[in-house]
Amino acid sequence: MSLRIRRLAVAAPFAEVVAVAMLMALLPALLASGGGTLVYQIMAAQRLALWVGAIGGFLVCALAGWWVARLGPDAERNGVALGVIVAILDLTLLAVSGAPFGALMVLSAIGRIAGGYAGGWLAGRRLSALTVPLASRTS
Amino acid sequence: MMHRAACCLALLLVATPVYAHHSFGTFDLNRNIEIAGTIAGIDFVNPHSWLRVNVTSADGRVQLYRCEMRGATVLRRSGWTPEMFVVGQRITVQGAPDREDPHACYVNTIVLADGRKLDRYTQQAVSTAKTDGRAADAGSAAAGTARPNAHAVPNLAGSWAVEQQLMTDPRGRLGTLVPASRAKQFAPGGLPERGVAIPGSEGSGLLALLFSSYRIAIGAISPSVVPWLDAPVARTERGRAALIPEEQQPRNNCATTSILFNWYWETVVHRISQDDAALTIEYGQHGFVRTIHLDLNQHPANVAPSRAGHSIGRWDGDVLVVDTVGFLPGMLGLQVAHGPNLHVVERFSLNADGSVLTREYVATDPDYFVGEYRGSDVTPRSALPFVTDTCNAALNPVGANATGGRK
Repeated sequence: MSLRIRRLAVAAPFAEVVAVAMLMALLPALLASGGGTLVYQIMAAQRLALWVGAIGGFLVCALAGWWVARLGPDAERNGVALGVIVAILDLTLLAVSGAPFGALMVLSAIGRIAGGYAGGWLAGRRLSALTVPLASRTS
Repeated sequence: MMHRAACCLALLLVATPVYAHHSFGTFDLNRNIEIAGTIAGIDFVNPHSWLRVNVTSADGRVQLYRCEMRGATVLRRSGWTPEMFVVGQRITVQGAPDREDPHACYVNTIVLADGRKLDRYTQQAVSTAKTDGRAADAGSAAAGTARPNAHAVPNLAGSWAVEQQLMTDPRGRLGTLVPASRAKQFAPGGLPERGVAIPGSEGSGLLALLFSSYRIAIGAISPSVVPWLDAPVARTERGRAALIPEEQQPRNNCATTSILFNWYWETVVHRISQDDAALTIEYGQHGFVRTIHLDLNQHPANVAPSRAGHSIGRWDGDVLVVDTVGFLPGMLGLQVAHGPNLHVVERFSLNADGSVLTREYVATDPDYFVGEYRGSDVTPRSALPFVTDTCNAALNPVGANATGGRK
């Protein structure tokens, strides 16, 4: 198995920063809507964070996983590695920030690992699609 | 939209109007200044007091500085009096400078001529004596007589004040507001569990705001640790449109917001008097008075709208249930507007020894907000007598008519 360490080292923190930025933007965006009192919007933000943490983490890691794995071997493994690293970063940040243990942690971690895998899988498929015609042309 | 979101982020959180009031405005708490001079005067008023200090420079010129202090009511509750500040006496002020006015500051610590050093939130022995010739509190003598006899209804008469909130840093630079009874549990600038520093406090820049926004979303900060927040209600379109800017809010212009809000805001001392026909509540600000009619079963047909509305009360066992309608449109709380169809039901009850008054309330106004606006407050009897403190909107840097705060 060959892990693309440099790409992982760049993509993992970047993916986590983007995912965290999504969570940071939640409350200001809700408040800007003017739809309710601060407590109302805080409760809404905390409910939404479950989805944003999981789905946003999935999408960001899918993109980062695809970038890490593209044009290289072991695409799916590199994608999963990306997801796992981002999940570890995320869990650490959540714990350090004082998040109560719960659904957010679990969903976010699962979303990131699944996203990384999906990105790697996509990159691997694209690579196969490119290499098969090349192989058939040379045979 | 982007601009609006950015503004919200900056004010955000917790940058609720609570903190817009109990925050630092244009004062830069990441810088320190110290001025030494003589006392030129004090405006011992709400919502903020101002100390005026004459400072003589090396070339002999005298410059007047204005330094912002806590409001008169909370200062009084902390044992401070205007008499502490004798015109002409030496004083040293350590504080934070104003970003816009080079001759204004936010008081952190003062050193008086007799050497006494007082931090912004220093708690001194409180004199319960009448000191200023204003109305003494006849009702406070009612403490301990919650139920005069076995057949009587509870006696709510007396003076009452919601517990004061103090910053965990006595200088008022760091941390957040906590109930006075808990303040000593915190190291200077400490935060309660799942709490957040007041935006604008020392060290809390944009990054701290961003981090707070993240911590709120992940549930690491709980709104329950922030005092005086509105109930969690959604606004209707009309409720959204009726919101007014911070500087026009009644609370920033020496006006009453609502019967609910002004009971706990600023933790002022109120007075209740009671007889068989009515219960009268004199709020400790702006001369606001409401009468709860105990001898009426229903509201009159044509109630003249007012800020207090029309209240009727009935005893449900030991609980006084008060129904109020007939309001002037306005603000119910910090961020919730209401119209003339606001309906408020309050339930007042005393604890066993009559020393603590609990109020639970439910307000509805489907035109302006969705569902019920619910809340409660717990109010001990006040050691201080009831007085109505002077309010000067011109000296409030947040108010629409602000003049003195910037001059």
